[in-house]
Amino acid sequence: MKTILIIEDDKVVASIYEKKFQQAGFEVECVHDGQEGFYRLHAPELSTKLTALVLDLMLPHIGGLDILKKIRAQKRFDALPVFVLTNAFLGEVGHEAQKAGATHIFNKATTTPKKLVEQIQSLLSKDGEAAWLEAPPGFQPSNPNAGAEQTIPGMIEQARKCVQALGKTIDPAVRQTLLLDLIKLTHGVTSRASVGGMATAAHVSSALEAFLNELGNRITELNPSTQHTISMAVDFIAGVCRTPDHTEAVASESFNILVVDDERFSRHAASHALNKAGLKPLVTSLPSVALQLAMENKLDLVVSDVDMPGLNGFELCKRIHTTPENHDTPVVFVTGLTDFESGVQAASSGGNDLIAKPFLPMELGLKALMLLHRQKLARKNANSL
Amino acid sequence: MEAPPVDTIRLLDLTDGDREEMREFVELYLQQTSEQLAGLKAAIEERAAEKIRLLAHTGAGASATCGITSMETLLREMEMCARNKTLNDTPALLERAEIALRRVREFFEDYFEK
Repeated sequence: MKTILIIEDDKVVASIYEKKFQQAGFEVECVHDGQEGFYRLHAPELSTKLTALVLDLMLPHIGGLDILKKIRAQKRFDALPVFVLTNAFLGEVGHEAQKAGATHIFNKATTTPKKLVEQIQSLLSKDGEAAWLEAPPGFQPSNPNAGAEQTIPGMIEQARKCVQALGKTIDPAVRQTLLLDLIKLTHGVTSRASVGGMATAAHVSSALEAFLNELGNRITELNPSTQHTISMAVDFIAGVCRTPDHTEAVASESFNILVVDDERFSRHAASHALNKAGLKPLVTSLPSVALQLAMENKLDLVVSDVDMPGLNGFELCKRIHTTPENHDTPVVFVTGLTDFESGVQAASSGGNDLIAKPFLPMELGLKALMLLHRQKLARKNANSL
Repeated sequence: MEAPPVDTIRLLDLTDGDREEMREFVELYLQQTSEQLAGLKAAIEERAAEKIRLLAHTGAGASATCGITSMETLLREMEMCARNKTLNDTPALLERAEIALRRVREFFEDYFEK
């Protein structure tokens, strides 16, 4: 019998994976803590029969990436297949895991437990070698039941409280702690939504997780614009979780996205950010070209600078909305932070949104994904009437 | 201690850490901003508030995006002056922007030498 070790911090998610692997004929052991997982890997009763490791990257005590690096540094684990679960938007982390010797990387938000088991079955070719390393005396693994009682609505409620608290403090240490809590909660929502078949929630939640990770490295970027985006994302996820859609995540090739900005670096920043979210925009420096494109095509999203010579972003938006196919096309206005607060209400009307530059790449990526999903869901609802 | 004139993480974000691409970005930025400062000089001499506002706005946006914080601050100030049609401070701001741009150039010469 093939034996698999799953190191996944969310007990509910781990138990779903466990059940699926057992149904497929695997013997399964689950641990929920990085350090404990690392020691279990070296325990003789397990390591001598271990076939493969399924490793989440975000774990308490020791992260998945560190576990991977540590075991790959040992000759006895050379051949052990290690399947990593990560967030597709955290490209660098996935890349790091690949460099560190992951056998395969799975996108947690879009890989259902069934798909995970099927793909691992087909990827497995040989058993890993194993050897001894005992846990040091006194080692206390984290409580395996911790967090098991958490539900998606419960985690979203906690996330909302974190967002509110973030808005009330300027203490960098408190903000950092709140942000870390938010990252953990979002990670949990991504996992649960993914295994629960809530593709839209899982997709947006994983994008939010990636954005929060960017923000965690740049806490000074926590400003009214980034807080507005976080708050919007939490509300959006709460909304889609109430009405599970069971549809596929949005695919980049199916959308017409247009970036219009007369300034070349800002244009590049917007296009780069959308690429990071898996979206491929058309780019123009001229509002007149943007308008022409809107007259000839159905656009799913427009990202527009506000202050452009000839035709400003607000006027461009009005005209785009008068074209036959684009009366409801959402527009994200890009503006300076000083104009953000005064403009946010006006710009947010009618499905549009505002973002302050300079923005972190995943902030725009996240906004774009939310607007695209919202439009997709609205169309689906309209068709079902 | 004086703050560095550049937040290099912004540029690293924009170029995914590719040093060659970053160098190209910097060259383009320095060239574009030099031209904008020359344009601003002419606009200030003409006392053309709208022209100053647009040039300063574009320059500030590019500087913010590329993480050239020192230039962004000065150009935003200039944009604000032009928006309020109070142009008396703009020659001094331009002079400070020219000095700041020289510092940015020196910063990157050091940065890429390392």
